[in-house]
Amino acid sequence: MAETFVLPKAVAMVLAGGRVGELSVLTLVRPKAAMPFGGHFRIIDFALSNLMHAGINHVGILSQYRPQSLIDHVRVGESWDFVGLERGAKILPPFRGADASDWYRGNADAVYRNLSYITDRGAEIVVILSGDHIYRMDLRRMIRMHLDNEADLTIAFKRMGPNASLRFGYGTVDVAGRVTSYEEKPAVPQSDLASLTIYVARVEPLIRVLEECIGLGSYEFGRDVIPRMLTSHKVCGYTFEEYWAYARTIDAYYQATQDLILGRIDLDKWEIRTNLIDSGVAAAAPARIAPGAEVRNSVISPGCRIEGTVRGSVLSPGVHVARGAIVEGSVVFHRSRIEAGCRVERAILDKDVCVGRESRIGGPAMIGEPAGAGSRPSSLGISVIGKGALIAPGSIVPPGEVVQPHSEWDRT
Amino acid sequence: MSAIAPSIDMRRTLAILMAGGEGTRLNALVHHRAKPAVSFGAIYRLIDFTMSNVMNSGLEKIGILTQYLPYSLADHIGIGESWGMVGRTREARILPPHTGQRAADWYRGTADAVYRNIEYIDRHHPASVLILSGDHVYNMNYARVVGEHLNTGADVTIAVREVPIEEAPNFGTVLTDATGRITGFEEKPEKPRSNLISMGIYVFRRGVLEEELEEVVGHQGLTDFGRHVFPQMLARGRHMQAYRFAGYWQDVGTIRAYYDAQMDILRPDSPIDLDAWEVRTNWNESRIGDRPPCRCTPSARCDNSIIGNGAIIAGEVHQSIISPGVVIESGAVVERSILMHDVTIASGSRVRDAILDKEVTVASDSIVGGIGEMVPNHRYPSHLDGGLVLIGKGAALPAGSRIERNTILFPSVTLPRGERSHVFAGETIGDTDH
Repeated sequence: MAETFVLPKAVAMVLAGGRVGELSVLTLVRPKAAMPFGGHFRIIDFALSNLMHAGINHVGILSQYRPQSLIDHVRVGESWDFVGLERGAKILPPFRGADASDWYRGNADAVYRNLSYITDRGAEIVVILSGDHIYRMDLRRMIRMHLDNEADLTIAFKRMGPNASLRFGYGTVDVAGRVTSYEEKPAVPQSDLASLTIYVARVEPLIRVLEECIGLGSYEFGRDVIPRMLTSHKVCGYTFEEYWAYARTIDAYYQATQDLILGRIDLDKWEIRTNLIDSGVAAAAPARIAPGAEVRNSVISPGCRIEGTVRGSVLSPGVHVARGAIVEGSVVFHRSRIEAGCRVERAILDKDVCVGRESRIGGPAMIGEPAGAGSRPSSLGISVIGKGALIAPGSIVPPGEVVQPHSEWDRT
Repeated sequence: MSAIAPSIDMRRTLAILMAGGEGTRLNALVHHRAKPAVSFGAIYRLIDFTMSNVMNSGLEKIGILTQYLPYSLADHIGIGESWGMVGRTREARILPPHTGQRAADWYRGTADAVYRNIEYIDRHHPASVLILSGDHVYNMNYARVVGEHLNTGADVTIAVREVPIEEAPNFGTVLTDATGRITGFEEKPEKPRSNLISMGIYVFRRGVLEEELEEVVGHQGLTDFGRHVFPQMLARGRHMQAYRFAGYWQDVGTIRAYYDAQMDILRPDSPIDLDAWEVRTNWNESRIGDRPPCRCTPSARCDNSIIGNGAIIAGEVHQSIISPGVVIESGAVVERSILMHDVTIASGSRVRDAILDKEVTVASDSIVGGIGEMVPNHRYPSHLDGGLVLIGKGAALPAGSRIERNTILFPSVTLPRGERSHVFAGETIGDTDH
């Protein structure tokens, strides 16, 4: 940005609550915002780092599904410099009180229940954003546009093909940048502008509309709040053109890790920060590549020990690939062990998985297997191994198969 | 770690770490930093081994004496949070030289440095004082030394180990009786009578330490534990006990030892087990923790190496230590070398048997190491004669450079293009002031 501007008092609310069935066993143990990504990061690091770089110093994280890993990860926000007199990060779980109780009924409801977090800090604007997106956005540009437009609400959009319409809200924006229509998950979208669930809003009108919506039993931003605001307030669009991915399905997550390997996601240039203690980095030795090992086209975290072959893969801290094992096109989370003679291909292994000697996981892509068919969550044929699973020596996990967390798999 | 740590005894022991060492023989590596701050094993500094031992032994308080180029050390130690030394009863404190009623001027020796900080020791009223140095690579549970010290009721207990007798003249040597009681102590003797050497690790009863320092330093004006305090304690009949340590321990005070110890990490039967030793470092210092995991491109070939985060490997790496942020371009080959943070090796270059300090850049088609005659370095023959190349922090090599064996480039040297980018065996490039 050529000129500077004064950032009004701002609070961010990160939507990190949900679990989605499409991530299969990976989100049995954690919300999707807490999914490991890129070796030693978690996906929420993208949102938190973007907020940090934008100078937004108060961050509330709305979380209700298995929040423990998020609590461990965010702590008091020190990894993103959110600690200080005039700054803070806080997990906001559901709570019971005199006039508010029960679980969050939707993302707008979650914000509504925590309005005091926003108002207590004297915020003039609030930034509401998903915690499960992979991107680097200069939020100050969007806030700047929001202020210049004197908008009540600004929605970030990205141009996407109509194929994604069942997953996103779509809007139309006029030449003045004003949103003229908005529809959540339309069968036939009116434009190619998909909402990224990143909103900047003036606090005062947002509170009024939230109160109206909640009174009517409406709890979602996309379905309820935005359409209502369109009728009575100034809603503008901000178009984001750069890389963006999300982790709502196994295939999208897998694709994003391939983008990382290809350098389309540049964690260094994007200045993504994480909690090194939670990620196991602080206690890890440097990655160790043994004599005779082969490592190509891969991302290798601290604490890994590689004696075999790793190609086209992303390894989180503490992964051990034994001699003669081959890991190809796969994502392996913290501390998982691939023993001698194994072959792991096109698979996602959650933390603490043990793959016994000479076993085989996954393989080349299958054709024609629809996503979600039966228990198989990936249309790419990605195998998914749940946290702490034990793959018995010599067994076979077919392409696209799912192994439950902490279970033992011994089929051949 | 062992079941005996942490204990009441360790909570009543104050550690004093002598981190003032210049480490002159490390030459260009210590122009900008004290020896304990020298990088080791890609992500560590030498002092991390001692700091981690302190943490893993259940000690709760440590004072760190600095004097020589203390900035990188002070940044690195911080308030000790990386080693769990922050809390209601825990602390790590940097103790620089200071002026005052009883003390002025620089630390003149090991005993002098501790003497100047007697008030700091008193304030913690420990039962025992454990004195350590910050420039060795080893893993030791200090609770065992302190435990033995308390069991024998000694006035001081010195950790000792056996070395080949020809190395003994470099150390303080110790004679003991059958019970391990010390009967003789000679600092760097020409003709050693023993191959048991002091590791520079001492446990004192606090009262004894204070009395001895008051006498030897305060009254006599002497300065050194090995040369002055221990011989006098023996003469006065103090009970001095030896604690034998048999594990890996390396004084990396020379370029050769520094290089060999890091090559030791890479051995399949490595005596240095960074995981099992639970060595911790400060990931916030120099923002090394901000870097993503290392990335190997499709053209990478990499084996028998350790690789720090943020490194990008597109070329070949064999038997090397690759620190955070190093870039090895496609077509470059690095063998048997130590590359510190943010070194860049451009395509077509070959680096062999070399130590490259931080931010060294090697432009394309250069040859560093492994060529030229085997003659010792002319200016520093005792520092460098085994064939290695040593390149100081921030030095820049133009395309097509030739750097022969036993050469030293001082920090920030920029070699010009052309003839002078050929550095012949034994040459040193840079100011003589160091």
